[in-house]
Amino acid sequence: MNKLPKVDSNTYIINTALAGKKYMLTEESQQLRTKLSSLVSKISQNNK
Amino acid sequence: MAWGIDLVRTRRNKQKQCKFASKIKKVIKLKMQKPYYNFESSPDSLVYEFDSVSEHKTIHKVVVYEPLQDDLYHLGFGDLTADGKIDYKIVSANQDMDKVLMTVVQTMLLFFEKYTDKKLVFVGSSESRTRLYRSIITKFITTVELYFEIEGFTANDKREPFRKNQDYQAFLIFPKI
Repeated sequence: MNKLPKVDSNTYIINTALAGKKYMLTEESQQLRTKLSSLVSKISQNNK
Repeated sequence: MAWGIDLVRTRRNKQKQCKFASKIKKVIKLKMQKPYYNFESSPDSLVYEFDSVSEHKTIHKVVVYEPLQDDLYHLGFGDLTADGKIDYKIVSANQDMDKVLMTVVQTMLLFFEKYTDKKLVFVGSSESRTRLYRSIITKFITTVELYFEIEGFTANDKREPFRKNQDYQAFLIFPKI
């Protein structure tokens, strides 16, 4: 599972090629993403 | 010799993917003709930006496709906050939800045009938002399922082909090649 590089305790950075722009997620958005990642892992295991 | 055959196969697969990509784009654009916002795309087709505009306000939106696993990407979208962060959970209430969602669909088509062999997972920022996505998929399923496989993640953490009246935790979409 790829993890975005952590910037500080609340934000994560996404490196994109969009003119070298960098985006950070709010803490709640990061939680949503983490929740989805865990769900995907669980489902991958269950469907093996 | 075997490598030569592999190269030919790879080239054929690439051609097949390109054909597929332009076909879905044309057909789905035609059948899902709904208004959407103009947007900017990153050269790698992984990030898109657009403005949601109403009489009251303009909100800068960002759509991000980020890798979760080798062939699996997460579709996330939200508002760009004043301090430059993406907020997936915000409820903008800018009276243009259909137009915003149709813009996201257009970015998805561009994503699959470039990443034909990838899969996309997405979830609503709340249960009601996830139900909204389900109703949108239901609305367009007859068109979309001609070109894409759509699956839902069930409450007991299984994947299954999308069914219209079923609640799901999240959705998986990928091209039929």
